[in-house]
Amino acid sequence: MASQAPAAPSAAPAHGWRSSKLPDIKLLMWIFLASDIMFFGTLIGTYLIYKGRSLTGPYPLDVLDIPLTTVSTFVLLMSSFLMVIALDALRKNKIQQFRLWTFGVVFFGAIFLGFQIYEFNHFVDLGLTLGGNLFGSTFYVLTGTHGVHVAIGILWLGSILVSSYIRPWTAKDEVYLEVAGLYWHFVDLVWIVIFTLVYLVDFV
Amino acid sequence: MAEGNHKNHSIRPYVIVAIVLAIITYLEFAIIEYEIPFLGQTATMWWLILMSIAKFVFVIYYFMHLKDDDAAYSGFFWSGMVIGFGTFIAFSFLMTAPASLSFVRTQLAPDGQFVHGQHAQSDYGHKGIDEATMASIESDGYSRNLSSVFDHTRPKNQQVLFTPPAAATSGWTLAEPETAVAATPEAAPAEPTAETPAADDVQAQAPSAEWDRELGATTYTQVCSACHQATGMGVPGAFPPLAGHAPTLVQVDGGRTHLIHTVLYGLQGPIVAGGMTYNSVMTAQAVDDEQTAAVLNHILNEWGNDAELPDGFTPITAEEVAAERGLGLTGADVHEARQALGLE
Ligand code: HEC
Repeated sequence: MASQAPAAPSAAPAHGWRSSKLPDIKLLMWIFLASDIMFFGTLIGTYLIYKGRSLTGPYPLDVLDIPLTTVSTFVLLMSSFLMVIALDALRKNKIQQFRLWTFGVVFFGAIFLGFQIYEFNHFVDLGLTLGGNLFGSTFYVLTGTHGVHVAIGILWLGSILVSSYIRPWTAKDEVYLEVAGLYWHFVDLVWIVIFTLVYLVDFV
Repeated sequence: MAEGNHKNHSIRPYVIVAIVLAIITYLEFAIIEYEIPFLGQTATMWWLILMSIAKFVFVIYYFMHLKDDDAAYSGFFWSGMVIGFGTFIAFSFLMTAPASLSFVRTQLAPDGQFVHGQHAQSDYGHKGIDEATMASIESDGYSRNLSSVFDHTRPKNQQVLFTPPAAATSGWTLAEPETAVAATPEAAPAEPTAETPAADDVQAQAPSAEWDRELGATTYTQVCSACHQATGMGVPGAFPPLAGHAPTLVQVDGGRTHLIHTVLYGLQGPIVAGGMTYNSVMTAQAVDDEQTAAVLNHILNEWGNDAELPDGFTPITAEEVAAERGLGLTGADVHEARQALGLE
């Protein structure tokens, strides 16, 4: 292995083979987010392209409920706010606050997910199914994928919360919370787009 | 990342951003809920998009700290955005390509007959369908430009047609309150009331007393559904709907004959169906008398159409069909006769 490294002087910096001083885990998260945005880009694109091509109902206007979704959008946005507050508290080593706000994020995330489960159930009662028409297929695949992201975020942040009781977190661990936070905000970002393109524009 | 910075870092910017996000979300809701009169549709649309972009930017720059963080992160993220958006654009073009029309071409053999699974060469030269018509199908029926992606899904004044799932497993219903039977999945709403009424009132109540339902359904699936779709909804811009439309044809005198002629000789010319104009060609269909009668009764009774049949309507018979054979009409003739009936 050593033979692969050219014998050039001082090729290896003191801190090892690193080309970047950025924390690996954070870089990794951003690259993941970049790939995830492409993933959602295709799902949203598919939804938009098949929009209005359903041959049978129910159509978006028959099922979508704007007031309800506005509330759940608001809840998700506020959970993002709690997320930055939690990170800020951890950086300042205010562990109690960090736990409280992280719990808040998990709680709000769970409310959002509850809304979505209610919504899906209600839509199925109205006749909108995954295989029933194009709107159903594209809608459920897109919002369902987003819902799974939310669920993963809840599990992730929940486990951080639990681990903070087992192994006390300090400001040194901030990058781990920050990365989870980035993921959480990203899920929020995607919802901002879905809320507009899937829910609101139909009612213009 | 210096520790010292965080110690005095105030959360005020976060609070402000959160309030702004909440306000924007409320505005988005309000612009939809209380239709703003002086904003047109297009303007509303743009406002919505702008507001969501604003939210997006606030979250990513303030909550995700891209504003102050290393530019490499921004680089990765925006590259992902560009690729994702590019994929969407490419995909849109893919879907709007006229190639999607190839399935229509395969259905139309050069002699105007209906052919299954056989790839007719894409020449438009056969009788009955001309370049202009084909072009109009290509531009209206199967292609969409980007602007129409944001179109309304369905005109607000159009009636909703719920077609129950074929296998009625989920017991959803949107029935009128009185028809309590529809609440149970077993009382399959697809099967109209034809069986139920008392037999002594056959003339007025059960228009579809005797015709070969099975033959009608199979003929429809095999011959007509490629264009008019299993749902009877057709394809907007290309193939007119039969659901909700077929009964309107027999509401005028001579409508029965027109239906028979449409199947036997085809139809070519501008018509209005389901509130939409079609200017296309239906070719003569290769079906025998029995099939023709059965399939016409099928389209007149399926999808809730039976409710709109005129009182005392009797099923079309094979004899009626036989009597219309051999007239040597063209699709254009049938269209002319159709106009003479006063149909739109
Ligand atoms: C090749 C595609 C195709 C097939 C197959 C087809 N149709 Fe059509 N049909 C059309 C088109 C296109 C029109 C509209 C013609 C026009 O614009 O003038 C139409 C129109 C009609 C109409 C409306 C007539 C009116 O005056 O409003 C009826 C009814 C109809 N078809 C019944 C049938 C039945 C029944 C079958 C099966 C036996 C069938 N069609 C098969 C393409 C098709």
